[in-house]
Amino acid sequence: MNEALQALPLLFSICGVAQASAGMAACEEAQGIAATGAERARRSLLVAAEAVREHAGRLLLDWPRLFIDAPPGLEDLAVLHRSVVALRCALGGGIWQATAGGVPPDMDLSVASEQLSEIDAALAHGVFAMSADDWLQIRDRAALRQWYRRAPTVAARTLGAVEDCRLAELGRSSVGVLPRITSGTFSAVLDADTADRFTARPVWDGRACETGPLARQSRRSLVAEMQRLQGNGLMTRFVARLTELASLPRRMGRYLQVMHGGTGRRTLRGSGGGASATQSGTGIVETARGCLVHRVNLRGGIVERYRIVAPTEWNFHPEGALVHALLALPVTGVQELRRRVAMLVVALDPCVEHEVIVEPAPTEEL
Amino acid sequence: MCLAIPARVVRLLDDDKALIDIGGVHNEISLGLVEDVAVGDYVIVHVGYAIARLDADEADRTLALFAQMVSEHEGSSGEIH
Repeated sequence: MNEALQALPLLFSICGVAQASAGMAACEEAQGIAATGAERARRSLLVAAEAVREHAGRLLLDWPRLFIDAPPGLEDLAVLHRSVVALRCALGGGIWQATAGGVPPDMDLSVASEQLSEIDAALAHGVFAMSADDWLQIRDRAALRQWYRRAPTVAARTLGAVEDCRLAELGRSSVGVLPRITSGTFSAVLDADTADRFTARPVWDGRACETGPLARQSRRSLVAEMQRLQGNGLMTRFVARLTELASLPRRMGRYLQVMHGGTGRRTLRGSGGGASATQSGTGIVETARGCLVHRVNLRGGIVERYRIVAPTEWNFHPEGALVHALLALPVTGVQELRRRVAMLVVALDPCVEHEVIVEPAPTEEL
Repeated sequence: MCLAIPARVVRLLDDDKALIDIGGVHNEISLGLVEDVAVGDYVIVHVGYAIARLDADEADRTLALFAQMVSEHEGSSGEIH
């Protein structure tokens, strides 16, 4: 089991902290171990920091390239990368402490606090042109439009370009968002005979669903208004991503406060089990790209089966949000088609490299 | 899923760029997000940018894991999930 936990952040290093955290939660549940509140806060803080890095990567690398023909915001993103690494080091090291229920690592919470301020400042400078907290006071479309018409950042200019180029509703579809699902429900699905099909092509209540920032932020007033006015197209998805990014520094601050409160003791829930006992656990982590689920089945401390449902499998499902959006695309010439497909893919943010290939449909014979 | 194979830096280029090698395939990437990268270092690459530099031990362990997965995959008809 420990080998599996150590392998996770190495194999899945794009979102290695989230993967390791989900694996850790699954193994702890299997062993009947409950992490302390402080330890849960530490993990959540590191997952949130990774989400800041990933969201900012899309905003500062992909958006300028695709929407405003501007150079990437490398300087601001480099600051964020450095701060996220420093924060991780301050909270126990660059490599996840991959032992289920392990003792808390050496930490320097004052350095972590400084790095949190650096992240907040970098977002204010490079993304929002104001503090993230102030940006969250934008609660309707009129105020949002004022912001993106005045702010000089890549993110604001991108939203302006989306409106000017009439792309706001690009990708709009009837695909709903994935609701919050309990670990017990996922456990049953992932232990069923059909689990392999589910991990490759997950559906909920028989339907493909969207996971990620839009699913998580859809109750915020601004995102809800955008969704009501323009559906789940590019503009709403981008606003949801910005909203989530703006909310992360404050949430990270709250996690840090919990950590200041003390480490406590981990507790054993007493599921027990002898050397040959079967134990199972599920870990769910909300990553930048969406809901990530790990399911582990142990026998005598050895991993008998391990299943992962990644967010990309939901969003890029054959009946999911991307495919619905692609099927509704107007054909506007190969170059423009390729550009619009790239926009839709970036809006859903897959965790893998992608390439757009446009092929003419085969001619039907009469 | 987001498996990330370490890429070895083969040559440093102008404009904060580098030539990398992944399994014999060479690609040009940006080093704009990481610091102090030298020839021979391993980096994790995402959408054309190095996003992390690995220490030698971490890179060796990661490459060994991928080699083990490929070898086990070739020995069975199943998919890697």
